[in-house]
Amino acid sequence: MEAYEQLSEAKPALADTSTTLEKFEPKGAIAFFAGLVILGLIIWFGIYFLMLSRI
Amino acid sequence: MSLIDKTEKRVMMASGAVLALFLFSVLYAKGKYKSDLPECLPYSKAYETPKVTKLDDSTYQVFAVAQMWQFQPSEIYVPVGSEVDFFVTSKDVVHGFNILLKNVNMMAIYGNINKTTVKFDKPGVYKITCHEYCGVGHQNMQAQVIVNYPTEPPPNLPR
Amino acid sequence: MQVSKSFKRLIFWELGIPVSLLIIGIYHGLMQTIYRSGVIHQSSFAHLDYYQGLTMHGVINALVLTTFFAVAFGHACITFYLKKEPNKVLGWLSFALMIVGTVLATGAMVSGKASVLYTFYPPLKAHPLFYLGLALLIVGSWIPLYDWARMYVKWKAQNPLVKTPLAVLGTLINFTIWFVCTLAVAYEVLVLLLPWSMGWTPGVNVTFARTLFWFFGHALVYFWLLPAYIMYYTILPKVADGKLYSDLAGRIALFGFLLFSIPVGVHHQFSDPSIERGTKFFAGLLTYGVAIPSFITAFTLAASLEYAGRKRGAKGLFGWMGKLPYLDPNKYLFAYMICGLILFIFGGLTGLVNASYQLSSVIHNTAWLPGHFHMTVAGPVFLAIIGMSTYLYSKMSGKRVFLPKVNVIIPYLWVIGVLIFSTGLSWGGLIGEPRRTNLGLSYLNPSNELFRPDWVPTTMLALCGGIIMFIAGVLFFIVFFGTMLRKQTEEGILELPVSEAYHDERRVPLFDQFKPWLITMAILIVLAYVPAIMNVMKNTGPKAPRFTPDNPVPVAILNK
Repeated sequence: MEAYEQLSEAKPALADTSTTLEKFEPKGAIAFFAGLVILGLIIWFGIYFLMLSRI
Repeated sequence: MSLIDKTEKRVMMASGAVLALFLFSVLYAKGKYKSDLPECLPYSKAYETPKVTKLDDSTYQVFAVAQMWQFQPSEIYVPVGSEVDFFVTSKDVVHGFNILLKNVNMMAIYGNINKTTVKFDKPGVYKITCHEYCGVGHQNMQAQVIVNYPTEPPPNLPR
Repeated sequence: MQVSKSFKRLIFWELGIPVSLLIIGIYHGLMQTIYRSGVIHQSSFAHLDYYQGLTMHGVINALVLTTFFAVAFGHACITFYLKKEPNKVLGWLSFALMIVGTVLATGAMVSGKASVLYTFYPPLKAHPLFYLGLALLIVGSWIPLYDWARMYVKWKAQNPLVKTPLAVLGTLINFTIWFVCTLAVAYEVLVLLLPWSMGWTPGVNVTFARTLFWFFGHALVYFWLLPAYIMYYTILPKVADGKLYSDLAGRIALFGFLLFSIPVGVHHQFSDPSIERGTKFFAGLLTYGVAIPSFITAFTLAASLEYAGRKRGAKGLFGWMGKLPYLDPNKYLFAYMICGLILFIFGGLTGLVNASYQLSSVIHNTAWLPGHFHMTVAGPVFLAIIGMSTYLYSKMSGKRVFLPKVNVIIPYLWVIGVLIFSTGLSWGGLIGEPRRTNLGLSYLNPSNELFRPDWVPTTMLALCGGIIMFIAGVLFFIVFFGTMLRKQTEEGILELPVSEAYHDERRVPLFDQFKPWLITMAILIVLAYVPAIMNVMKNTGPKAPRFTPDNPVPVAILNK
């Protein structure tokens, strides 16, 4: 663990801002993921019903 | 305390649920509508002679042979409502056998027999397209199933 | 870090050669959309046949470029994270084999005697040097794995309780997948096809050859994809000024790929004869398994980017999406990666359709398929490759990127192009348009009896997208070769952005070793492929003689 962190610190940071978020709940990412799932359902069932219509 | 973040865990479970829903739908269509992938048959030389056989008024068998760059038979006449078994093979390279706007989508392969069954409920001309590259004439390789349209098959054509 | 001149030179060659060849590959990409949309009704243009060009498009873009890049990027990751250069002799030996192989295969394609497409399905026969060239390219790419594995074992012995860096883990997993899957295609090429193409063996079992090809062929797509995934997990959060949301999630995803990449190959043969439905169903099921690592990745990356956006003061549920460095010329890697991810949303979801058993009957071998994989291999994979090629070259040569503002625009132009192109192809596929077909000669030729007016709008859309993609490709060549022509202004070093993890979970031994995963992988492969091969052996009939693309009569009879 330590070696890994040293490794990271050894790199010249690109443009790191100094602040870090301590309490972070990825609410937006959860919403994004839900949207992704809905899009997936639309595409998948779109083809599914197209398949059924061609039986 | 669990090691992986709880949201990551929920994401994995949600993904699993979505995939389970897809799986259920696939099995449902397979069970209820008999919608399935091509059937697997052992090779037999009999299928290499192209022909259309009428089993009864609404059941037909087609032995389709793909070759560079045509299908035989190239025109297949069946009445509306018939159920047709397609047996497909190739005399040379790999060909495709895709009946447009129907779920008939097979590879035609030398020394192999592919089979699927489809029902034609509506009259019309159904194009069969070769969709695997099979050499310089590939783009001309098409046949058709004519279902009661525009008229009954001419009497001089073999059925 | 400082690296030797020899190592730099190796990387430059491994990036420069495939990018140069890509000029031919991309040229024919554009040409195909022109032929297919019926703008020209010709079988060849500028002495290059449609199917010959299509073969080059596939082989150069999907086999040569991706393999060279994976090796070069692997060298970079291993060297940078283990702080040690790979063996010089082995590195150059690997390059030499790959380059000889590429020259042979390219020569065979240019001569017009290997127009068999990149899947080279028998009994269409290519020139023997085409097969030999591809085999050498593959064998050459095996050598670095041997060297990296030695370096890793040594490093691990010295650091038994340190988590293996994610990029190193990803590189080793990727090349393990590659080594195992290419064994099958090497067997196909060297044992079945090469002697057959020379006329030493009379026939080949076509479905068996196809089964061996797809044992390789689907794992191949993960071999393309994993370098991009490594960048997404280890580089993207850093260039966005954020943190990787969960380090362990990355490890789980990578090991998931190790398990599922190979045994899913039969899903490419859903429409094939001689393989039983149960075998196909199992392959479809396993393919659902390989979707899970990508779902995990989608969330983890979104959370990592949300972290970055919130750190920059973003508010609300989606405010973070607006606070990312989309157009910052100094962080152009971000642009390349985010654009790849946008395409992969659609590429991944359409892939789920393809994997779903009988849904395959709607789309198999139609234009939907190239529509799908241009949002995967020509999406995240291609953008990661070209972005990282520019980055590695510029850093290691100490030359600044030529036209940095153009450089950062390229991926956006590409995304717009691909989205239009793939919409055209996917829609066309759903109304029956076949892939791999010179449509302009027949179906898109108004004077031909096979003319299909309903395919005009779809192929026209693909043409529009293709033109935009081509422009983005040309701009990339200007930036890449322009950078090459610049003077060195800084010291050339090997440096990769390194992301920290927000949840940097403690080391879990299970996710820091290979043995249990390799055993499970072997079991899954046996479960999936023993039935498949037994089906094939049981159901197939006579073996096929050789055919050339221009004649329905077998080669052996023609030569008599």
